Amino acid sequence: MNKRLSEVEKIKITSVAFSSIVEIGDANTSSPVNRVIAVQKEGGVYSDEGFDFDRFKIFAQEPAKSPGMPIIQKNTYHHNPTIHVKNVTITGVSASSLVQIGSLKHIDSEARLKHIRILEQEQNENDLIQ
Amino acid sequence: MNYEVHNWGLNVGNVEITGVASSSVFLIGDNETIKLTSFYDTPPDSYIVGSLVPLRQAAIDEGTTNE
Repeated sequence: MNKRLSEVEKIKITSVAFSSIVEIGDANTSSPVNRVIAVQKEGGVYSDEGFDFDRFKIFAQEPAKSPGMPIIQKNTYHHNPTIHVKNVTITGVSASSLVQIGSLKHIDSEARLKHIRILEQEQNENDLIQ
Repeated sequence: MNYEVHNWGLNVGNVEITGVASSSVFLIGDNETIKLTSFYDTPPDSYIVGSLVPLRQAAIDEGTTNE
């Protein structure tokens, strides 16, 4: 791969959290994985007991196979060896995300998010009217 | 099949992003292969009424039998 130089004059990132990466420079491979169980329970959540990843099939599910790509001969010509970016402003980078200035040959990223709502009792239709 | 790409020049003035989240990628540079997968399970599919999820630890703390 003939890669270009990335030139960024100014970058401002306010927050980088939860295993996220800000990388300046080239890299070969990145495979970030993010697994989340978001529990919203009436009365509050006091323990993560019982919320193991292996209890939910979403965390074991295989992604659908992408249709086979035809084999093509690709030629890329960089007439200008530099990518110019004047200004980048990012408020937040979170949950295994990646911000990179520089080339990255292979990316294989995965995010799995399970939402759970637990109410103490079923909502009554009459409650909504009152 | 032949596929030819000419990158004559790339100049960007301003990029403003609020959030990059959940294994997302913001890349300024060249790339060969990229595969982004995401699985979501949000209500109403995952809606639970009543405590069907066993909260074992909490039951012990309250002094009830954990059967």
